[in-house]
Amino acid sequence: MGKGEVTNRIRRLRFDHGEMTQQDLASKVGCTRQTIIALEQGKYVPSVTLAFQIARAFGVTMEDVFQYEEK
Amino acid sequence: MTPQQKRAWYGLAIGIIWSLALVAVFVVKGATAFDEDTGMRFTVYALFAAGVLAYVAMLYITGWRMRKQEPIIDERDRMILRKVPVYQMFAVLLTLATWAVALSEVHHDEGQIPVVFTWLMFYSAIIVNIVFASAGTLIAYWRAK
Repeated sequence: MGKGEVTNRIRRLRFDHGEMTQQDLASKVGCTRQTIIALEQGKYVPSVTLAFQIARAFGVTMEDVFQYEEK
Repeated sequence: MTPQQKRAWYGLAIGIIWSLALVAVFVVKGATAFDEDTGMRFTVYALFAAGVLAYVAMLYITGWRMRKQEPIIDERDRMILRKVPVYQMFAVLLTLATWAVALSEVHHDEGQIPVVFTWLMFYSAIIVNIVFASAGTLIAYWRAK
């Protein structure tokens, strides 16, 4: 299996949820704002637990937030 | 800047002030005076203890203040902070190697080194270890960008 990349739609989903701030999302899922920034910039791939928490904060499935693309 | 980075900056500031104060005492009095001058010895002990206490107090106070505002550490922080001991170990080993080379070169002809240097090596290893807990944190976050 080749090397893949995990992308996400967090920025878009925040926008769709009434311009939820990064701090609001961070507080909802129990992480720091800097981690949300790193996620949005694609510089950090979250644990499965955090990924589920983020999806739940938006009321969507994990696949709606995170995508895996094989290169 | 994450809460851990803020703490690291405070820790680095304390570490630098602490190191400079100790170095100043040894520069003014001379390293070998440590053996003969009781006043200097107690000054060094007091400075050493004050530095450790200041560092622990900073960790406690910042931890208490930050916990009120937001989570001070999350999974990304933990992943980054796992690298800090590597920087600390490297810095301490480099310090000990520097001492070993410098003392060997300076005291080579005498075939022995003054006892005070064993204490100085110990103090410097502790100080470098504490300073690099902060410096290593900043380096780890910088490299994670």
